[in-house]
Amino acid sequence: MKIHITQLCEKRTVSRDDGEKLNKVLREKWDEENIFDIDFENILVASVSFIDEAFGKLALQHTKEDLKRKLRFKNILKYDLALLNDIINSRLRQKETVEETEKVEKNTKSN
Amino acid sequence: MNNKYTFLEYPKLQTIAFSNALLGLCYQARMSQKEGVIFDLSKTEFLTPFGIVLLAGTLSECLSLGKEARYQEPKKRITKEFLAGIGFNNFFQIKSINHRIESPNVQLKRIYSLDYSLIDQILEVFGNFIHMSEGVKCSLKLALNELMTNVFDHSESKEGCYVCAQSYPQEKKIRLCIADFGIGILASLRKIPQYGSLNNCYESIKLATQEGVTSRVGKQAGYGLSHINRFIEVNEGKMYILSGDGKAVWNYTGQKKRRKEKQTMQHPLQGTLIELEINADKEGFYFLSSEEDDLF
Repeated sequence: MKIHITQLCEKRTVSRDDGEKLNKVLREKWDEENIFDIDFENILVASVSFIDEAFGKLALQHTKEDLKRKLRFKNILKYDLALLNDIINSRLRQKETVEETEKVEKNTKSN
Repeated sequence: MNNKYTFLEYPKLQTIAFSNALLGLCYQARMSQKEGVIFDLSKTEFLTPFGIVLLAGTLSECLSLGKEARYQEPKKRITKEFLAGIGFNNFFQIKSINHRIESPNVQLKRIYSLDYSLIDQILEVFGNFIHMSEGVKCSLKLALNELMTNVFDHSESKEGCYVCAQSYPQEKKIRLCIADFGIGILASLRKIPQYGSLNNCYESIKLATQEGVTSRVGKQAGYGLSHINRFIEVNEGKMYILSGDGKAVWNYTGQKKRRKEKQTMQHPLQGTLIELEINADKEGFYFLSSEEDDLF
């Protein structure tokens, strides 16, 4: 599936609500589509809120491998790519922490 | 006439270093029971974005409370022209020298919702007057995006927010300030049960800059301020946050590197104000580099 950021969001690529619009499309089509080709069209997004809401939160539900396999980014500027990686890594770390805490709690209860 | 007005004499320098004194003047204006307030700037010689947004917010508040606001211009011509140049006089319909000056500064703005074009306008104005590294350009956009989003997501400000930015080409610096006159960080965080017992403005400011801390009920967010703080650190700049009676300063310049300062204001700020001091030509990109493998 091809997604053009400016067609979907126009110039609204700043807030969490803006990012939610893109995240909704990805969530709804996640099981149907093999690959999402997301075209940033060389615009500078530079928004933590937008990128986290659109892509970061996917890392809480899907594995690193799934994300890597299904998401492809085109015409994304170097800065936005670095921001995207930074945010996804933060979310993956957050998921690991939650999973470890749950494991410890489970073990404590069973003991 | 003097019995009808509260007279506020503003100091020579209206910068964040004088936040206690300036907040005291705000407090006097707000609490005044008289018909009007006279803002006397005749001695003022220098204002940073902090001074400008605080003055604009106080003037607006007086007007919205039905008080008459009078204004005495700075005597110093360059300061008077500077205020006219950034649109301060037009903003408050002050009849004075109303010429617009080609200025390396952004017009004072009051916004009521996320303004998608303002951010690009600010970057364009700065692009014409000061050399910015690519990383600073992108990170400045990131900071503006996050600070404006925060105002409209968390502050509950009925008055919108004020944005002001100035460039200092000789010092190769940019100062950016955004202020809302909303509920403040402490009240905003306390809406979340987890932070319900917080009772200190400074602690709430510190908490708000940590990754993953947000006042969005039931949501996972809270990355904006922590990213800005990381950028300011790499850029060796400064970040000031005032909210309620708390003031926190992250000073990453020179020998004071990594120093965090705490202050308690004698008169609280109703709302939140953030000022950033950015080194325009220093790299601001590499705060995003991590030791982890990049996924994309």
